[in-house]
Parts: sequence; structure tokens; C-alpha cells
Amino acid sequence: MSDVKRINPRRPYRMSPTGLRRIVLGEIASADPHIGVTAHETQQAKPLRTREPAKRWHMAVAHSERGRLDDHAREAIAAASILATPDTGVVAVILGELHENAGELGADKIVVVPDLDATRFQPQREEAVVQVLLDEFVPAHVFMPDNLRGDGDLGRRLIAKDNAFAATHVIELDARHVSVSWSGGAEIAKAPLPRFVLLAPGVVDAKLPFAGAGELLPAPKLPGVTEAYRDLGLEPTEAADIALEEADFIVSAGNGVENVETLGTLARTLGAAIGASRVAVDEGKFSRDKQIGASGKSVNATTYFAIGISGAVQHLQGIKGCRHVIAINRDGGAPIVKRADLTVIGDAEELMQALITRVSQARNQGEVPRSKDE
Amino acid sequence: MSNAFTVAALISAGRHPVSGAPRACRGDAVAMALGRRMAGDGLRVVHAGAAEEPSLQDYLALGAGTIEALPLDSSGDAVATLAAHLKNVDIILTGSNAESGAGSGLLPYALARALARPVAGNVLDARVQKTAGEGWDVEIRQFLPKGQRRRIGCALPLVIAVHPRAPVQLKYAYARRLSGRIERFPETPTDTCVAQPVWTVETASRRPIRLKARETKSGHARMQAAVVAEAKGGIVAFEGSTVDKAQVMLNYLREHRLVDF
Ligand SMILES: Cc1cc2nc3c(=O)[nH]c(=O)nc-3n(C[C@H](O)[C@H](O)[C@H](O)COP(=O)(O)OP(=O)(O)OC[C@H]3O[C@@H](n4cnc5c(N)ncnc54)[C@H](O)[C@@H]3O)c2cc1C
Repeated sequence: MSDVKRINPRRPYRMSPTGLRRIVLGEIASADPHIGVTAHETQQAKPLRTREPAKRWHMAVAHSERGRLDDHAREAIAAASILATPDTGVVAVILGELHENAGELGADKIVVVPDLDATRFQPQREEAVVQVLLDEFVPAHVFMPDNLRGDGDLGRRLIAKDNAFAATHVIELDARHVSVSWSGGAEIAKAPLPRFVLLAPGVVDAKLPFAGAGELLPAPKLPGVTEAYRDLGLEPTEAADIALEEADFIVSAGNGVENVETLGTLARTLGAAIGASRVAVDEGKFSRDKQIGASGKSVNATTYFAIGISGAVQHLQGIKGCRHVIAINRDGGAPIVKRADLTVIGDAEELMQALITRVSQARNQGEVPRSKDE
Repeated sequence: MSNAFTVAALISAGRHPVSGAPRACRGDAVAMALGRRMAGDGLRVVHAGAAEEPSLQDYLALGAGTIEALPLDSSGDAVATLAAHLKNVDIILTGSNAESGAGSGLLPYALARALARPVAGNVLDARVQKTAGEGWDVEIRQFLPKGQRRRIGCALPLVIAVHPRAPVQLKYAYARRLSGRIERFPETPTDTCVAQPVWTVETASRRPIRLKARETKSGHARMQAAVVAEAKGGIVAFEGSTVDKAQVMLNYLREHRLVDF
């Protein structure tokens, strides 16, 4: 026998999603080697970030939206917990209702103030409530999303009150520094990490390998503040009237869409604005102001439905800022498939009809959405 | 138009983001145009900084008329200088972010604090009305994302930070540039000593680095993560009936909290 180490040529392997055979060392042999990795992964509870009692605090303040936190708000909490040393605790102050577990986002203590949601304008109350918490915890750093939903406004009010050096529109940060773009982006400016940090979107990776303790604290009493402002309410808006550049949900049609009516119905059902590819516009199905792409508009929607759109570079250029792209296409080899987060292969008309039916059902019955881990 | 209330618009030195050429800062020009609509010829246009600033010429062309230039003292604290100068002005209009420097959007808030008056941000439109009593009241239309708009009422005096999308028309006229005036004010010493930030500025030669949690993972776990990360592009649903596929789309929307049903 030679001492050359022998390798079992038939040792267990997995098929990666692209169809490559992968041998993962240390892998325990699975009964079926062809099971895809993604289907296989089990969600384990994350370990706690720290077990030490908190001596100091980091605070994250954000508004919720319909009981949930958007990515930007999650990033602020993640920043607070990533930059926290083991003896620093993280307090998340959520203005508005919260129906999810902020502990998983990295918060050790959570204060929810349901009466201060973003749909109402009561900056002086918000300021007073946060001030109470600032006095209680005396956080070393306060992280907030710099958005137009009220957090940017509240943050600036707090900064003005604090009257110390602070950073807004922060595009990069670490434990010591923040960077902001200077003179419109040609330059970048660096400064020591201040007390108040208002973060631009996408600056922090909100995926954490750890969790916070997630202890819910009672909300502080709303102080009796007389607002200088009278909130006269939100103006009613129709999704179809929203300018494409501002829309958060866009349903967009390409050459593969025959029936414009169906598309309109789908957009109404989903509460989305309507866009189109150049070919669809050239054919006269849509007006020119609906065109998305290099020679049309650039959009920043969170959700973008590309229906019967091949995904030519000129079109993709216009949807660079879209976070979730869902494509419906007959052709699994179309370039849009590479860009899309979800592609459904099939006939556009049939799928649109099916989706309209399904979504109306879900809306009317007020189904309770199944959560992922059920 | 004679007004019982006074309006001032603050203008800053604008810079083209690429060439650095001096120009009117668009946000400030929009605020100035909104002020013109509110107060007509009664609008005061104020610049905290040197009267020689070249971009002021652009503001004259856009209809500033007379610009009041307030030189800053050695501390360079625009807020204190402006607060002292604008004590008696009812409505102060500013842009949302300056084009030169950090463009932090903090000035309207700091100014409102210094003058102890309310401030409204991201304002698209403002209309002043007489109240039942003697006073004046302003109704504000505020920009919110996702196409939403809010209306707010507020008594005077207040500070308004105007959103750059405010629906006003900017008209450039060379004749106005020639006929306009820049009025120099003497330096007023201020007694504030706010620690100014120490920004070190460098050319942006790299992309900003995303803040990520440091992970201590075993080699095995990292290899596994790499295998998963190989999947470029998203999920593709080939199989199933159209109803199944519609369910797949709905599940995706729900999973990522893109819909509220
Ligand atoms: C200078 C220049 C500027 C341009 N600017 C723009 C721009 O701003 N915006 C823009 O969009 N384009 C622009 N274009 C055009 C661009 O190159 C593409 O031609 C265009 O985007 C293609 O549009 P489309 O995807 O709708 O059509 P197609 O390329 O014809 O794609 C149709 C897609 O629909 C699918 N399909 C067909 N029938 C069905 C069905 N029944 N069910 C499901 N799927 C179906 C097909 O598989 C195909 O993938 C520009 C081009 C140039 C040269």
C-alpha cells in the first residue's frame, strides 16, 4: 500500500443552481446528492451578538410602514449593532406600529411608539418622545435612515437641538469615521463618527450573522406637546397618476403584451403605475412619457414588473435603481432573466389574467399571508 | 402687492457637480421663485457669504432683483449671521440641500432653532391666508415619497425648506442680470462658538465601502456560502400551471413585503 491519500471519486456532491457539481468538504453525505443547495438550507436561530450587560448604548430611530420596517430602516438598526462593542447595547426606537421582531435585526431593546406613525405629521411630539429616550439611555451614537418619510426631518430637528457636529447623507461609515459626498459627488469628505448619523440608503448590509436580545420595553408616555403645526392630512392619490420617477411599484409592458386593457387592470389591482418599453411605445400602445430606458425615463421603483420585455441594455439602463424585478416572458433565454429576481416563463396574457384573479382574491378575502417559515 | 407679512429667500453659491463651474443652486433658485410667487416684489433675497461670489449673477438673471450679501465673520457661522439679520422676517425660504460642500440640509433646521420658530421641510407649495383674527396663516403642501403629498397648516413666522421639485418656472434673462444689484452689508460679529466639523476632503476615486458585519465562519460554511452565491440572476419558474405561477409571484411579493395583503 502506498501512503498516497486516496480520494473517493464517488464522494457526496451537490448540484449548484447553475448545474455545476460541487464537492463541499466536511459535508455529511446526503441521501440524495442531487438536492439543490437552496432547498436544503435550514434556517438556524442566529447566535446572540453579545451576552455582556450593556454599559453604553447605541440607538437607532426609524418610522415603520404598515407595521414593518423597510430596508433603509433595517440598515440603520444593523449599523447600530455592527458598530457596537460587546459592552454596548442597541436600542431600536420604532415610531409607528411594529408587527415583526426587531431582535432579529440586531436590536437588544425595542421601544415601539404606535401613535407616532409616519402618516401623521407631529414632529414636535416625536422630538419630545425621542428626547425622553435620549435622556434615559444617553446613547453614544444615534443612527437614522435619511429619508423623506419623516426620519430625515426628525433627525435634522434632533441635530439642530443637539447643536453639535453631525453627519447627514452618510455614504460610508466604520467604527471611527463617516464619509459624505462633497460638492455634488465629485469629492468625498471624511470626519470622525459623530453622535447623530443619518444614513443614505444601501450603505449598510442589513444581513447580520447575529441577533439582538429583542426585549420589548414599554413605550414612554406621550408628552403633552402643543404642535405648532396643524396636520391637514394626506392628499388622496391614484397610483396611475403618480409620475413614473416617483412610483414605488411599476408594471411595465413590452412587445409581448398584446392586450393593453389587461395590463391596465393588473396595474390597478396591484396599485401600480404603468410603464412601457420603447417598442410598445413606438407601436402606439402607450404615450411617450411612459417609456422607460436610455431614451426614456429612469425609474427607482422598489418593485418592477417587466411583462413581455426582452431586457435590451437600453431598457435595463432605465431600471438600474429598481430593487425587485419580476419578469414574465415566454423565452427563458431573454436577457431580462439575468436581471430579474424572479422570472416566470409563460404567456403574458394568461399569466396577467391569473395574477389579477389571484391578487383580487387575496385582497378581497383579506387572507392572512403565510409566513416563510411555516 | 403690499403685504403685511415679509418673505425672504436664502441663496447659496451653487457649483456644477462635475465641472465645478459657479451657477445658481437649483434648489435655492426654486425657493426664490416660490418666494416671488408668495410676496411679489416684496421678496428679500439674502446670501450669506462674499458679495463677489460669481454665482450670484445667475440669481440676478433668474429674477433676484436686489441681493443682500452678508459677509461672514471669521467663525464662518452662517446660521448666527442669518438669524441676526432675519429676526423680523415672517417666512424664510431655503433650498433643501446646498450644492457646494456637504449639502447636509441642516441649515433650515438650525436657523429655525436659532430663531425659535417652526420649520417645514420638502415643501412643494405654500400659500399665505389671513386668519379670522389679525394674524396670517400658511398652508403648505409637502412632498412625500411614493407620490404622496401632505397638507400642513402653520402660523407665521416659520422657516420653509423647499423641495427641488416644487412646480415653479425658472426664467433666465440677461437683462435682469445687468439691472440687478448686490447690496453689501457690513460684517456683524456673532458670539457663537459652535465647533465646526472637521471634514477632510479628497477626490472620490473609489466607491464607498458597505458596512458589513464581520463573520467568523468555518471554511466549510464559507465554501457552502460560495456555492450558493454562484447562482447569478434570480429564481426562474418554468413549471406548473398559470395559477401556480401566479401564486409564485404573489408569494414573492409577500415574502419581500412588497404588498400589504
Ligand atoms: C439608441 C437606442 C435607444 C433606445 N432606448 C430605449 C429605451 O429607452 N427604452 C427601451 O425600452 N428600449 C430602448 N431601445 C430599444 C431596445 O434596444 C429594444 O429594442 C427594446 O427595449 C425592446 O423592447 P421589448 O423588450 O418590448 O421588445 P422585444 O425585444 O420584441 O421583446 C419582447 C419580449 O417579449 C416576449 N414575448 C413575446 N410575446 C410574448 C407573450 N405572448 N408572452 C410572454 N412573453 C412574450 C419575447 O420573448 C421577448 O423577450 C433603444 C434602442 C436604441 C438603439
